[in-house]
Amino acid sequence: MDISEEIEKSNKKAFDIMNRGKAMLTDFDYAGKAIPGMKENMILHAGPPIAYSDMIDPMKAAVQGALMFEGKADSLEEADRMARSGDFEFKPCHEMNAVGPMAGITTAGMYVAVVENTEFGNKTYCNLHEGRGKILRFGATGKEVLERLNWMNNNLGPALKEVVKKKPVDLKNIAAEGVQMGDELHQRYRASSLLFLSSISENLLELPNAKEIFKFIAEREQFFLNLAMPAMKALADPADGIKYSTLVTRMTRNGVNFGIQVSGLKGKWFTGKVEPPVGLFFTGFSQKDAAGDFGDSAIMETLGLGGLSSAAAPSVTRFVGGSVKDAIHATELGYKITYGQSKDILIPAMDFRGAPLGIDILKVNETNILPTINTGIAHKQAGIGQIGGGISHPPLKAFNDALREYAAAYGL
Amino acid sequence: MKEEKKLKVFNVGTSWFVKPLEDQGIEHYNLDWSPPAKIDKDISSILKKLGRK
Repeated sequence: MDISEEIEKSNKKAFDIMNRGKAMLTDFDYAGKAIPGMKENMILHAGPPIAYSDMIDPMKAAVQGALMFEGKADSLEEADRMARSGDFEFKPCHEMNAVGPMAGITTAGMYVAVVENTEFGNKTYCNLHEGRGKILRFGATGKEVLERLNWMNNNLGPALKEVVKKKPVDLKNIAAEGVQMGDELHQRYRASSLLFLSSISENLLELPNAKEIFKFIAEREQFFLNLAMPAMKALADPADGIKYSTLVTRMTRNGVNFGIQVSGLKGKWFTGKVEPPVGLFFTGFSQKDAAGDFGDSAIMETLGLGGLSSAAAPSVTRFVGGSVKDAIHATELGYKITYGQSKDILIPAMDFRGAPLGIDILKVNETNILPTINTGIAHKQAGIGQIGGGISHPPLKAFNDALREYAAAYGL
Repeated sequence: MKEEKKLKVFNVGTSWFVKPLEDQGIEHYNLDWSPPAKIDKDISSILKKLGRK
């Protein structure tokens, strides 16, 4: 078999694995208990590897806030000193089977969702959704942020644990339904968040604190974000490490670099500089305020959602500064760089074609078409939070370098 | 009297222009084409070895 045949065979295998998997929400627990290998002194972050000193301000602030939340520091200054001391191990969420939106900062004492791909037996993890505005994932660290995180740990997490233990939730099914109802599952989660709430309501309403839990989820239209992300990671991970495969299994950014990983080059990061996303800004803010793109949420595009399924969510196009034609065009471009289409997640506006699935570095390199990422825009200064929404693209360099490494690894 | 000629359209590139033609019942053919990407020499060489481009 020549290498082209090997590639086709292995890509079909990786694609089938991504397509066939299931993503069941089965538990909530402390990261330190749930995530294998998680340590007390470990701090997980979004994106490819980065040292604390190189992080953008919102991510640094989120680290400081997390150390205060854990009770390890009494002030941001003390937390900053601790983070620089070398006593803490910083790791990408992705390298611990986890994902985190925006800063993605996850520590042992935080509650995480546990998602299981029941077809392949792997598990993934993600911290809980705080909402919008002043939140840790955007680098806000005020009293109300830490109080909310404590409430989530003491109330939201344990309540959801009880609920999903009684009845696990099929997250892939909700994602598919959400796309039918106008979500593209990166910028817009309104339908899928309500579908999630509906799916747990029977068991949730039996709890004594049901009203406050219900209200917290109902008020957060992106609540499903922190469940969809580990769901997509759970589908992607078993497709990683397939010899010869040129399909992308991870795309993520840390505010400085955008990183991708490729199935046939297991464990290697290929990176390039991130640019601030381009889009529309809330009143009083402009492009000059925008931070470099960050967060593990590009796992949604890795599995064909978000920007690649833009056509599913015409209402998002106005938020990110485009037209419906732009949205359809982004999805059409997605089909040009992917192996095939999702069998379960269908896009009504594309005549019910499946979402573009299985980004192929060969197709990206021969066309120079880069996946469109739908994303929130954060202020570059810590604590201000989201200032708009827009789109970004990975750097072509990451895909070029991946192909160069592929050629070296397979003797081309 | 001027003879009315039937319009036939050959569209090259983006498919956005096809829908209005379809809506108006105009005979058309669409070629999905985009300008060749500018590719670094070493990348092009690897792709050729894989029987692509």
